[in-house]
Amino acid sequence: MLSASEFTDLEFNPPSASERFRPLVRILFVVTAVLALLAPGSESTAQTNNGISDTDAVLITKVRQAGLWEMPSGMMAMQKGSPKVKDVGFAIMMDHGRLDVATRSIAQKLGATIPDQPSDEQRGWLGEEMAAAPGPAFDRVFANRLRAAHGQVFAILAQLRAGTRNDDVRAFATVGNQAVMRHMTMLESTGLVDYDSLPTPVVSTTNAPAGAALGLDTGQITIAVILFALLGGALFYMLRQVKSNRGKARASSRPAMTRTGSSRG
Amino acid sequence: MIRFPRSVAASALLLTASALLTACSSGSGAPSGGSAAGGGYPSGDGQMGPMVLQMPQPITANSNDPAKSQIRGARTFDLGRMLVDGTGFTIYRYDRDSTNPSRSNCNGACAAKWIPVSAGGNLPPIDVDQALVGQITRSDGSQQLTLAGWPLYHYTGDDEPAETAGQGLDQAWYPIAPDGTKITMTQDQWRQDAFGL
Repeated sequence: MLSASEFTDLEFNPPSASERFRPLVRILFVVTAVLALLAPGSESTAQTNNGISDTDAVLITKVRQAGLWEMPSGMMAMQKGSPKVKDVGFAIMMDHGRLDVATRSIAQKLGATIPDQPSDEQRGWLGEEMAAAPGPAFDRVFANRLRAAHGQVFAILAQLRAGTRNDDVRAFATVGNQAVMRHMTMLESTGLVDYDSLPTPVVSTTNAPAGAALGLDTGQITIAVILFALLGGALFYMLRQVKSNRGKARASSRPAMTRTGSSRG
Repeated sequence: MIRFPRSVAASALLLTASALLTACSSGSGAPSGGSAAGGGYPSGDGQMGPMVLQMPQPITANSNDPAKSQIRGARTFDLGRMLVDGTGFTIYRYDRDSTNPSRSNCNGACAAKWIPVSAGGNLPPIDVDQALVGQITRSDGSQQLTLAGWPLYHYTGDDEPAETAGQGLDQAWYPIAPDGTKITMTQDQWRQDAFGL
């Protein structure tokens, strides 16, 4: 590879203007390409326009979205459920009313936009509840759909509660975490939850891998290694060309100079 | 030019690297999002027509709903036991009312904002001590439910079940617990108490 002095040598002993600048343009291209490749990664941790991080916005959206289908679900349970499920539905509807008030409040404070309609998936679940016959059939759909949904939100709440940088979001996640924990426990108290149908927990059972502190998983580390190997290879070819140019320039202008370093390919 | 293939090779390497990065970074997001959405269930078809969602309605939407005249003891995750109507909306008491004898001091514009819970509904109280339930005749002749002597009200500023937007207004309005006491605790205070702060 070229040393710093050889670069200097290159600049002061140009064979011609075009021959001199071509390698530099190529190096510039490499640098630009590297920066372009790194840019998306740095954006993902950046703040949005509203000053709220993407992950905080996800939390607020998820809790809002939970209320949008669980309040109607609770109302349906009050009409179609067996006595125990009626009570659970009533309690969940009220808690989500209180959570939703807190959600709208923090969204307004932080300038986050929130949805006002359940997702297509949630509409599908509501449709199942509507289609189910009153009594035991409804009870099963209600308990299992809501328990599964609460499990997802619970995981998101826990992660954001643990890692958010925002004081308001931290307080909000604390409140939400308690409510969702209560609902999971209440839904389970119906005795109708089929635990085997829930997603298995995704928790590492080995020691934390290298890069865990940076929040990188194994796949991302692999990508980074491959990427740098490829860039390194590309850079190597570029510099060899530069060296080759320099050699030709010397051959014509200063043939007597002794060459050191690696041989040409 | 002899060197041309080399620059092509170098460019190809760069392009490959960038393609790999793009493909992998977008690929790593998709599976986690997919599994989170699936939740272990086959997802519903999702493409349903317009669905009429039944949402809990405040007193301002339908004051004639029989469930609005029903009172119910409930328990929320933060404020604990509180009195709500049959649709889950918070019931309030007014410090400037009197209990012995029961008398309402909220009339006219006040009663338009704080709507008296009408008595004589056909839905019985739930989880409330029947001995505490009574009723009074208001100055306009209508019947109002009381609990432990306190005349009961809906608040027109509440939009959601168990919302307590009226709590502390005029330093006189508070959600009422099923035993007739007023609820002064807020969600923030509850959070601090719950974790011993």
